[in-house]
Amino acid sequence: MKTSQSAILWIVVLTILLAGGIARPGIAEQTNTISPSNTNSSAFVLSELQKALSSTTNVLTGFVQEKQMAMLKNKVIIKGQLAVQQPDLFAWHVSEPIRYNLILKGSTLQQWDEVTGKEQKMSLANNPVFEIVSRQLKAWFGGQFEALLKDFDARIDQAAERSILLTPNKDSFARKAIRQVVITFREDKRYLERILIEETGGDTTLMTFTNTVLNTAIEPVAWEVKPNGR
Amino acid sequence: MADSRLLRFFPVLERRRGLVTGILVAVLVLSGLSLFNLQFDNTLDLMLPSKSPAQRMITFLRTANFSNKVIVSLENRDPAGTKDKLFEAADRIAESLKPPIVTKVTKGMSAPDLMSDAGFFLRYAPQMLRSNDLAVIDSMMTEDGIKAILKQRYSQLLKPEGMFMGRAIQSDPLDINRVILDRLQELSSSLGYAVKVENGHFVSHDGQHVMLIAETTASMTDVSEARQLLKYMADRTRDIPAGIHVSLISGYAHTVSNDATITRDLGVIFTIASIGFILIFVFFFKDIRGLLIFLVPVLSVIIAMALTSLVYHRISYFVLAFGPVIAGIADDYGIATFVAVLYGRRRSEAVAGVAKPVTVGAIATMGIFFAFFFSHIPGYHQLGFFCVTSILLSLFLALFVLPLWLKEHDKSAPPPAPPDEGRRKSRILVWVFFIFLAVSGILACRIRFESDVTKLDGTSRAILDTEKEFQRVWGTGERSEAILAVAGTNYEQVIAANDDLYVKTREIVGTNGLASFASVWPCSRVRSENAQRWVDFWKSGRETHLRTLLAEEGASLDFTANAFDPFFARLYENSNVVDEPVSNSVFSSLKERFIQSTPEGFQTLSFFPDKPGTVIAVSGVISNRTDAFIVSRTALSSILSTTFSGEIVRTSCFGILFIMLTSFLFLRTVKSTLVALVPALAGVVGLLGLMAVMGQPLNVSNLISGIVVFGLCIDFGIHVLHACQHHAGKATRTAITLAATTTLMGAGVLLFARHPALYSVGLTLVAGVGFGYIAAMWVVPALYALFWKNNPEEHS
Repeated sequence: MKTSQSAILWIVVLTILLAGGIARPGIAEQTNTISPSNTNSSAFVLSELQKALSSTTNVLTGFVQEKQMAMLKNKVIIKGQLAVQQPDLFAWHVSEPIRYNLILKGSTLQQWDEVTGKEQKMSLANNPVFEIVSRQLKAWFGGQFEALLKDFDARIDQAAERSILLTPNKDSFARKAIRQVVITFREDKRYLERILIEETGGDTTLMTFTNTVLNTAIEPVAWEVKPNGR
Repeated sequence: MADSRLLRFFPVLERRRGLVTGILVAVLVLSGLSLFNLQFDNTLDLMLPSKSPAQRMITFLRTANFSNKVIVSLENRDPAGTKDKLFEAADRIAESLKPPIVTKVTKGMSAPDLMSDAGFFLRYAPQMLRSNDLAVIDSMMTEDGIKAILKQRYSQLLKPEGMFMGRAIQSDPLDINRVILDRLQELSSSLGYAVKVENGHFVSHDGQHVMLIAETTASMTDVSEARQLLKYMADRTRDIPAGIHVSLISGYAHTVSNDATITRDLGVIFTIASIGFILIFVFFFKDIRGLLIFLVPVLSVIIAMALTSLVYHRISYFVLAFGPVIAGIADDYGIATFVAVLYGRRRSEAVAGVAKPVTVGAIATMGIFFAFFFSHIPGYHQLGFFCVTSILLSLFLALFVLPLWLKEHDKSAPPPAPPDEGRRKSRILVWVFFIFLAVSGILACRIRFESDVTKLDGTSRAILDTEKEFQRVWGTGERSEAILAVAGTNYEQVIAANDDLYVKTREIVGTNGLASFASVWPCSRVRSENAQRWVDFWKSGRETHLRTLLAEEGASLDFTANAFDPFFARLYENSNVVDEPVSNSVFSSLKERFIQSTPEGFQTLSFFPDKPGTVIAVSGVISNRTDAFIVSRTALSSILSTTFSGEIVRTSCFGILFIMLTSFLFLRTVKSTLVALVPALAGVVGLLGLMAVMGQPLNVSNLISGIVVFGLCIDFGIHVLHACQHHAGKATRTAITLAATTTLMGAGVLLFARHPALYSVGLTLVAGVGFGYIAAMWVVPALYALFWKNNPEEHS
């Protein structure tokens, strides 16, 4: 896979998406944690998220991604499913408009797409960009938000209910590509409702989560990269 | 029998004993004082043939720019410890390391700077892409080709990474930058360390280690500078928080440790040898004057070392280590003189009686060392000069100075001759000898040559273990690379030559197997040519053609008509040749790895797989060039084997020729010469067989010992045969036994050495001299009994 600046950026957002998807059940009861009146502190906000996520071990959720890009005439709609199982399993499956699978297992990354038809496997130890992926994932799902605060400033979005605004800090490698990320929680605050990514160039990506299931056993087929597994 | 010239000369010396002694003391004092300024070389360079590929490789591996760095590895050993604590400790150490000893400390890079700096190469891609790269681009510009590429780019947009691929795809629809990025990736992976950058620091993959790289001006071959540097680093890394462990990795540790090992070994060797010699001489002869025998080689060695340093300036440690060996050899002459005087009547007669065999033996031994001058190995020249001078001086002292201080005996009867060996017993002994030769010879065929010179490194176990652990944490595994080096005095010429070889070598190794700076930064001439070629390529109609193809094929995949305008807008940017971006961290890191300053100018390094077939093929590319050479660890083994085989054969031939000529001149018949050679043959064949049984290999340091064994043992053969022929009997046996004992002791003390090179020399000498002595004492008399006993007229 191409080791580009952009590739690093998607990893950051991906981890944000996943973190939002593993909201803790009962977070609705913790209305105090995301109340504008309580605090504007990034650390407080993320520490609350950390508490919420620390009890979640498995996530299986569908997603719909709407990409508005200047270089494409029409909006692109991508549908798929992602799965996370602690401590070190992650899967991203795209079903429409093309089929694509990405699996992270421990220190190994595998991917497949129907355009090339080829399965690619690489060791994260030898690929620094994707090693960052794995590390960030572990940071989010292990509840280690200290690493996240190094790259992003987080605050409550005053303009939208149940939303957190993340902006890259000046030392972050994400600042050249991302203007801001808005994470919106569902009304019951058990998981994310959507994520909106606004790029510096004007392109946007809106990701909406559907049919999210938490802490249930995930079929082994979810961790297979080849298409027969889906 | 008594030499009449000596009989006339000796009384002159006896009358001037004081003057002779005074001159000797004066020379000794001067020599002793000069030894305080002695400079030693503890590398193996002097033991390799001058200007040979082997020496060039070994010197290169030692002095390449990785050698002026000290790596500081901090490890978090506290389970509760945080990475921030590790970073703080690393920052504190980095701040404390300052000039003049440490000139630069690299602790990492900032990720945004890293990406920005890597982007430089992408902006100037037209200057890095060569004609074959443009040919590949050209081949893509068909309907089907563009369709396939755009389909791939579209699928990338849909993948997780695609969220931020938009701009990259717009400005590079053909993915031309992948070529440059792949090359950067290839170069980066040959950087030697497996690091990731975290919070501006180099961190190991296990996340528990942080690395600092300190550059220094200290010379790695200078022991005092190396010691000073290591102390400085140890002081600066002492005050660190609990739970953090610091390791220092550098070639300087090897220099200091080797020096300490050799110094310790020499101290032990000389102490044991001195005590041993003194004890033997005093208790054997029960005469305090026996100490004078010991003084003969000691004084000779001191004076010879002073003379050697005058001629050669930097002396190899191996030469000094041969001091006790020479003492063990050279005391033979003093022993012969002492015993002769002990059993003789008058000093002059006794000395005259042994002068001839002693002198012939000395000449024969010197012949071996004289042959070293025909070698191409500088260390052997030093050894030859030192040994020849020592032996010559010992001979002079033994014959003309030592007797002046020995007590004459007015009445003494010659000791009885030992009983003759019976013919039957002699025949048995000779057969046993031949069987021994046959068995040893067969075993000797199994002996191997150990060309891995790192096994002769005297560095301590602790340092080697630390380095092994460091490689486990930071190393890139077992990847083995050969190095293609291009050297010269002018920077641009060296870069241009490297470019030229890059193109030719790439055809053999393939682009993916060759890591060369030329792949991302050619010389200015080539960059200018590349840039012009890029402009010509697109302006010849391809720009228009590509616009059309992208619009047509892109439309079917929902790309807008102007989706790829950013690519065309910057198509002719950055075609002007620019200077090296000295402030670019990625460029600087790569340049540091691939281009070095040398005392003669500059050299570039390119890395390729160290496989025999590849090395041979690349060697063919540089066969007619004097500015390029290959460093290959796998080839080094065979090069050393071939090199040393040639050296040993040449030196051995000269040495054996000298010895046989000398022996023949003394012994007068071929038969006598051959019999005198028996102990030498037993010594060499026996030691090779024993080493094969023990699994001990020959190596660059002990290889010469075999030749020395030959020279020592023939001395025994000459003396014993002479004694048999002249019925010298007990006196000679006593002298030879004592001589062998002291030679064995002189060599045997090397077995106490920790340095593997010195130990292997000791083992070969002890084994060889031991076998030679046994053959001299039993087989030579047996052969004499068989071939001469009934033919007295054959005696010389």
